[in-house]
Amino acid sequence: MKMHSGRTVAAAAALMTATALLTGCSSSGSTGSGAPASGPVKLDFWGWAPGYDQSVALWNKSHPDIQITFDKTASGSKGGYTKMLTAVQAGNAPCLAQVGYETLPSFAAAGALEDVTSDTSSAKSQFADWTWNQVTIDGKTYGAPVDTAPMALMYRKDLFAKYGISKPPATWDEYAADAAKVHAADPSVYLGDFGNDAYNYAGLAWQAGAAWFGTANQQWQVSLNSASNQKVASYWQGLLDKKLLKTDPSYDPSLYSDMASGKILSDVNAVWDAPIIASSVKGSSGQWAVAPMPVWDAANPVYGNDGGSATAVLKGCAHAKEAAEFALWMSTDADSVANLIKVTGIYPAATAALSNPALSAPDPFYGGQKIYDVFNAETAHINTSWQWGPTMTQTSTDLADGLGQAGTGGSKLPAVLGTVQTKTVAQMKQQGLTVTG
Amino acid sequence: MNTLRIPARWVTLGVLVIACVYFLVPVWWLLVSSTKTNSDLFSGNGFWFGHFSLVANLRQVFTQQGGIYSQWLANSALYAVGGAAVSTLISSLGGYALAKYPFRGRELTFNVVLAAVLVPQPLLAIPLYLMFSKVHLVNTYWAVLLPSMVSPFGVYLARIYAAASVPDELLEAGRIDGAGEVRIFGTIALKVMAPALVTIFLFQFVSIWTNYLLPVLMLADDHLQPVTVGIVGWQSQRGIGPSAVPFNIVVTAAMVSAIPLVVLFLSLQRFWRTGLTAGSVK
Repeated sequence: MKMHSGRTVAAAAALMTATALLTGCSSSGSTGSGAPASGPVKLDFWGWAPGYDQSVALWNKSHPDIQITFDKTASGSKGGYTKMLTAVQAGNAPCLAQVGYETLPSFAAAGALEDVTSDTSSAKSQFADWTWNQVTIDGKTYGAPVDTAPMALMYRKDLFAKYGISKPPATWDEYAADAAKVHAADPSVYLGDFGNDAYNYAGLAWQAGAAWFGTANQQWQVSLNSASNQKVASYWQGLLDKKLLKTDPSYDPSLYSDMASGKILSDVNAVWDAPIIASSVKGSSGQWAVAPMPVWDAANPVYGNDGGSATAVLKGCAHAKEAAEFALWMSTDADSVANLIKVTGIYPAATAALSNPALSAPDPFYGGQKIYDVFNAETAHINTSWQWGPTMTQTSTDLADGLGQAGTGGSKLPAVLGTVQTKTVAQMKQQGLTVTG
Repeated sequence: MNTLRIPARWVTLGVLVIACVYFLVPVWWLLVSSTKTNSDLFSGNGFWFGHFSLVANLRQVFTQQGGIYSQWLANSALYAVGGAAVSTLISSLGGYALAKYPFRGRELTFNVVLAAVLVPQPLLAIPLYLMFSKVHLVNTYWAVLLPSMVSPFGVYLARIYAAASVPDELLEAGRIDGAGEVRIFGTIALKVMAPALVTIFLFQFVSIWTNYLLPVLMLADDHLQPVTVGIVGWQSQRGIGPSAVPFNIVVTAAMVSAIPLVVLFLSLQRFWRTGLTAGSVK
């Protein structure tokens, strides 16, 4: 599912109000949504993904004692998260909410999540380890993972061959060499694009094990400017310095226009981007293919992730146990997951669901390739240590600005990381969080 | 002197042309893009027509997701017409009273209204949500309508206009003839203030029609949503899954949602123009 597009352009007003909330929010005496003692338990669920309502309907049919109402809100970055946080403060929040992994720590820091560790711990083994870490902050689990977004290389098979690239780059060294080769052959053509999507860049750092945030002893650590992060930044800055990458903004019409005209040959992006490319550059259907994301160490491949979300239980829920039960069911029940794969287009977090037939269908846009085989193989090798921080709205905006400037040559990536680190630490202190780094 | 005037005219004209292009180019893009198929949107010239599929696009806009788009348009119309009409009435009453009746604390009241003009609307969305939660109005039509009925800027404009254009002599004449204050307001003041009222109505209509944050916060049911929230919802579903909304449909929906504003401006323009010149005659 596509979670990130547009997040970088979140309304300034929403940002300000959300941050104001985060700083001023402590636990409020909330009553939560719930039902009287008799009759079925009634729970509300806020989210924006299409298809969630159908999974809810499946649940309601088979669980007469717990009835869920799904309300479609604006997507998180377009006001949905602000709405949820405000509702928690007003005491009329729903029990369940669709929350992206990157936003869960913000919700936790705002005290907007209900600890459901004991209600969910038995289901942990049904999910990939790293996804469980995404819904668990400082030892407390707040919901169930729904989907993930492993990254891969989507590329033009025909044009790779035309420019003499016999096989897609398996390592970042090969990627750099191929970028130089393509650009030397035709200076108007580029191997890839360096966009301004902060979460796509986060996936690159994620892969390299270059942590941005951590928690220990109830303290936050920020390490955006660490040595491993500088390594990733220097690699991309090197390519930018040699002008080997195009710098169209992420998900911009100019990017798809360049892809359609064969000026950009590939994109390193998440699983949900595969259908976006397919629907945006229909003219080159059948010429595309998906290869694993290039890695740093071919002997020990580790991949990155860009996106994914959870069903979280919000603070004040009077029936947290039932809410957690539904959240786990939605992510693991065979019928529900089949519906989410088909209608919502998720790439499931539950390991059993990866064998769903919909994920083994050949895709004509990608020349009949079974593209999910690539992502399935990567899933077991996604870096497990990644943790998001409580300031992602601001951090991602700052980083997106920096990425854009790096693209136009206005500043250098290593310096951008330093700036974002400083601003992030300042923001966390302003929110009253204890932070080191 | 005369020789200076001609270059000055050309400079003025040049600046106006640049401003015109600056404002109209995005509108042109929107118009052109709404006639294209999804794949045409990303290939070819963005400022010229491709394969013409406006009719198909329109049909899809109005059938997508069970035809909910018409519901959104109707909601927007309800919020904007209802909110702007009531707000115009309240503004004219308030502005007239502040201009024509001397009373203790009049300037203080006016200054408070003036201060409220300076508060950006989005800042009030969250406090409003918290208040409306307490009285259980969240997720109803009233949650969006009630805040739309108040316009400090409208009160400000109505006072300025009433003070400048409603002569005291006219009101005195009415009183001598035995008309009550309500009748004087209804039959004399409102008519003289009509151009200002049109302006207030237009401003308020546009700001309600384009409001986003307030309805996003207040409404959880997508059948209550105005068209702005609906289109953004479609846009964030772009690309994925069979229920995804293609980009050209989002663009066409945006184009359609701008039409009522254009129609309103064109049809109310002549009232507005008389309003702008009214003060200069005397």
